[in-house]
Amino acid sequence: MWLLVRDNAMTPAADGSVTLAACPDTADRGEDWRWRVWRGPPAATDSGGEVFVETDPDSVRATTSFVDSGPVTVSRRAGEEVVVVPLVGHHLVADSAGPWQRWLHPGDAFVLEGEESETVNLSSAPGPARVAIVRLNTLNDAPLRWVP
Amino acid sequence: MPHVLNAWYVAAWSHEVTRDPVARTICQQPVVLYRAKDGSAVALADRCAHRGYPLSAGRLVEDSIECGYHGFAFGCDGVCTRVPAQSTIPSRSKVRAYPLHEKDGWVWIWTGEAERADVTTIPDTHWMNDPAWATVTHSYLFNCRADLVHDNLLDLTHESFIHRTTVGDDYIYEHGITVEVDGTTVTVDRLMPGVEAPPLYASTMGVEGLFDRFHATEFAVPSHHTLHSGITGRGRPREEGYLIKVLNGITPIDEHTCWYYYAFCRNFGIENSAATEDLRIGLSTVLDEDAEALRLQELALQTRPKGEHDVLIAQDAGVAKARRVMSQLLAAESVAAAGPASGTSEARYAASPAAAAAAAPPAASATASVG
Ligand code: FES
Ligand SMILES: [Fe+2]
Repeated sequence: MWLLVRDNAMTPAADGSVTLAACPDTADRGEDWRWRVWRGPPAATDSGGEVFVETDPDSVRATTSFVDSGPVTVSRRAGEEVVVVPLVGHHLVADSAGPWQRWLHPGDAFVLEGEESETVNLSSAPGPARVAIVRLNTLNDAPLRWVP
Repeated sequence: MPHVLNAWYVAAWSHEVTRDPVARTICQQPVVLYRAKDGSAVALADRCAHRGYPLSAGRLVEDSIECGYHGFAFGCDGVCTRVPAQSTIPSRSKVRAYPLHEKDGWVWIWTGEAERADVTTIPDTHWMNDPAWATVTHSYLFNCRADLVHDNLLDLTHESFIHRTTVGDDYIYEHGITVEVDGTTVTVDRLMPGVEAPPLYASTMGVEGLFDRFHATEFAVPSHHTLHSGITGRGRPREEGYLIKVLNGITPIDEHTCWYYYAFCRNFGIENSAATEDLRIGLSTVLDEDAEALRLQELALQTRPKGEHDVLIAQDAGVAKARRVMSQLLAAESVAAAGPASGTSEARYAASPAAAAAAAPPAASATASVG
């Protein structure tokens, strides 16, 4: 399952920070909390602001990397969750196995998850560019699945 | 159960609104619809200002509707035009007039604050009216809350089960979905590469073999879904294919029933009237299957203990996100006598309807369950 949430559908907290993606997505599910990815208040710098990741340390390990120049292939392992967070510039994300593609802009968040491995291609429009790639992996056996 | 009121809902088919007043309940508001002599459609509150008799039980006199009980008459703007036996018309004698807009065969009603009605926000429905497309229509009263129809349309995996013999195929479940949330529109897209055309359409399409099949439900919360579906050659752009646009106007009646206005538009075999007739019958079978399934689900939910919630999974992402948008719209509309938002949102979740409520001036916490 892929989930693309646009900036205009995010709800900033009072301090200006925005939770871009979380698992579970809401407290309503009553399921164990796993992780969240959020951005601080918009920075006045060229870095596009910071991305923060918080996880349940007993079940999930997160690693964050940054792409400043593309194109790159983003591979996702089966059972892994990946959150793509554009910070600076505009980025085209494209299914490596099909026609689907979308432009991502700062403020958007793109989540990839599922029990089969897959790859997407990421390329940036000309100009300054920066994207954070957050990988979330289970510390247990069961694949990490996103919970709405 | 509250409904989002600042929204356009399909109130009726154009052909249903005539010089004979017709009654509809929309978002728990009784409405009478009729046509003025110049052909324009009119919607008024279906309750006489005098003593509450339904105006729809009266008759038209010129452009006014005359109450069938004591003869008070109300014009297209809802203002009283005549009181029998006296020339002074009480200034309070008026009924609510609703903004209406007629387009492509549907009459849309705005149930909220009239000054916020913007016809440019009515979804595109031109396929119903486009000579390059052939259309089959149905309308249904569904014995379920509108929310269940929304869930159903965003979750087409049910085709593999509920519509097994009509539009369903086992492979639907095997293909992943892409969910997009853009403002208040939620789209769930599924591409099924290299599969056979669905049995219900294959003969009309006159095709055999393997195709890329797709369906994308675009839900303009709270009232309308456009289902962009079809088949195309393997690896070919969707626009080249046999295309279907299914327009679904979902209009709440009350907490347990809703209207379902349906138009199935296709760009293939458009001159084939026998195929149109076959589709009309086949699609009503599909809708019957949905109506019965959702009736049963509605009954089952009515006895669900408080505190027991849906167990949503990744596959339900579109359903969950749309419920969330709906809750946010409801929260933003719910004007509190009691002051600022009472809900609190937990920062560690992406979803926080209460935060949206707090952003809207003065607001209460959402009463809708996103369970
Ligand atoms: S499997 Fe969906 S309601 Fe039971
Ligand atoms: Fe269905």
